[in-house]
Amino acid sequence: MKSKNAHKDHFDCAEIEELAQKYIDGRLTDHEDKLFKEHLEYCVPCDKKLKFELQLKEFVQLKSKEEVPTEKLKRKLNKLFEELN
Amino acid sequence: MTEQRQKEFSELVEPHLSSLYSTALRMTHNQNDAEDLVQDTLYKAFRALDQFQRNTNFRAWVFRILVNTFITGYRKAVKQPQKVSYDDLEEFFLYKKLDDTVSLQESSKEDFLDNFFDDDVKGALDSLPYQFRLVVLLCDVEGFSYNEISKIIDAPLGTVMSRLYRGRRLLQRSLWNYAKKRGYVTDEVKKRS
Repeated sequence: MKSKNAHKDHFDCAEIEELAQKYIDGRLTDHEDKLFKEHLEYCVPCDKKLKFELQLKEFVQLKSKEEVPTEKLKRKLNKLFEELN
Repeated sequence: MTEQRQKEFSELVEPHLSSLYSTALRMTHNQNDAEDLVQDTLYKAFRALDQFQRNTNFRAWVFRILVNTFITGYRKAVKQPQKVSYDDLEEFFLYKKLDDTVSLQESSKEDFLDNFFDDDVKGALDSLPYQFRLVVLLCDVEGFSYNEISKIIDAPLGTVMSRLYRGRRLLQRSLWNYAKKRGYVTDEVKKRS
């Protein structure tokens, strides 16, 4: 499927905002990615916003880590095997 | 035969126990229920092991079982947030809020996130309606691709994307509310000259 941005030669700030989430997740086409990065090179406000979004994504992953009762879960797994035998 | 099957299953599932439990905990909000949910998932996965196609993505396969088990057996018991408003959920919600507030200098915007404790973030995640929370967890915490999430939650790619993007904005708003409650920021708006 051809991207709706295939004919574009630059992105404005509104388009950056619209495509920001896809950029963060690496879902842009090569052409979109190139235009997106070009925009960030000269547009400080957009660059700062995107850096913050990327930082936030990493932050959520880091802060939502849990202490996992691994041994307890393994025991449950073994108990499950015993019951099934 | 049985022992071999158990060994194979253990080897497949053990690397993912932490992820399964963490996701179960964020979905059920409760350690006992999370452990039960993981146990039910393991039971079903083991019984269905013959259906799993070897050399395909076991992690996505077992997460799909976890999600279905949650939806059919646990979802109703979990308290959903009160009515959630989707107004004012613009892109870069948190950044723009920080930009507009009096108390923060430009230099501290990058340090703003350091204020939060782990429990603030977990609380903010827990406050999202489960459909949004699930997709944010699968993508941003567990690192699944859009296509994998689409298969795990059995929804089209467009639904995955809209839930993810909206879920992230809801999370940003929730973090903003935590920051206000904890006194990390004020709501006073900058005067623009």
